[in-house]
Amino acid sequence: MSDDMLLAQIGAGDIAAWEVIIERHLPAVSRYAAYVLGDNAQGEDVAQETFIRLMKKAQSWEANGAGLKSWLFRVARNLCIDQKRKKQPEPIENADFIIDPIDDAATDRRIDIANTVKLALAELPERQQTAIVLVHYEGFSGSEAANFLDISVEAVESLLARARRSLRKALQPDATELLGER
Amino acid sequence: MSDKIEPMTLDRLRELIEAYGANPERWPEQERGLAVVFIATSAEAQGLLEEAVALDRALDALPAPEPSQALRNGILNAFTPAKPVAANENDGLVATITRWRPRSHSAWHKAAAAAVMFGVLCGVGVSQVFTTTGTIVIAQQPFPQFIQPIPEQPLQNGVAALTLDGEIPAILANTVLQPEVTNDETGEDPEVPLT
Repeated sequence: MSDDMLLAQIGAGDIAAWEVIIERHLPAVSRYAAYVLGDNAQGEDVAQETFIRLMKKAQSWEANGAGLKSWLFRVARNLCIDQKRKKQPEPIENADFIIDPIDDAATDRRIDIANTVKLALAELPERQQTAIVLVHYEGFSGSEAANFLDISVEAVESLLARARRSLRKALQPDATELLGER
Repeated sequence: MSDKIEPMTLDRLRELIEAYGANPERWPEQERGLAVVFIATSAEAQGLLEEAVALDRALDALPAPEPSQALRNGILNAFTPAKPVAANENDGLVATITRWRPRSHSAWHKAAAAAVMFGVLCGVGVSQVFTTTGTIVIAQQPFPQFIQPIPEQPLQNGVAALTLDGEIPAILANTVLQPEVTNDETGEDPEVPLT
């Protein structure tokens, strides 16, 4: 069932449709916000606020070309921009998902790598950051990202290339570990 | 990049890899096939790809956080069912007042609500005592045993004019001085002069 149909059902009071929308879009929105903000908890705050706004919008939702996915990311992006003005990202200290239960040294190494990448990502200008998160982590195509950012595909490719150059430069001191370079 | 399919070149492949990285799935669909073929035939292109693979691997070291159960529950609980449209939405003030209930269950809220209801009902009753013709009408009083019937009085050039000399207007004086008349004997409602 399409997002637009589900939203019509949500507008009519169907909680099952709301659950489907959450399952379909929450992980990506939450991930996007966590990557951009460099903080899972703040990312979840942004995701929650984004979906509360969707709840309010559902009754007056009108299908358009951009679609729900784009609307959600747009709201989350604006919330992230506001959030970033308030607080800098904190380092990963207790990341269950990268803990190696056997090798403590490997766990420490993974946490170090994740922190380095996260900080490098956080240092990027907002548009470069959004472009790399959408395309590299969220699977947007170049043209989808271009629509989202309201720029041409060429401009998206330019943003992505500059972002990757900056990331490579930021990760260079740890190149052996991170980039596999000698 | 344009919609027109052009032959793949090393420069264009470099642009693709610098922008999208080493994974061909991220490259524009219409250029993907030609780019993969080009890489297979170019050592230089393969070198570009290797550099990009290293950066992709570093980026992938950043774990993908999953939304917590608390977040899911919080958003699920944010669901507010659509408000049904009332059939008698515009049926007036009285219906609105009678439908209204205090949201709080505290005693003083209930008392305040009762006082408001009482005041409104008394106000409605009083507003129906004086008519535009100057005739005093007692109609639909909520407490008829406390209200005396008042004989009909002619309008005397309006109440405002009569009060200029400081005297009590006759229309009001009569109301005050009228001896009390009740229908306590019959137990019936007092008569209501309508004209």
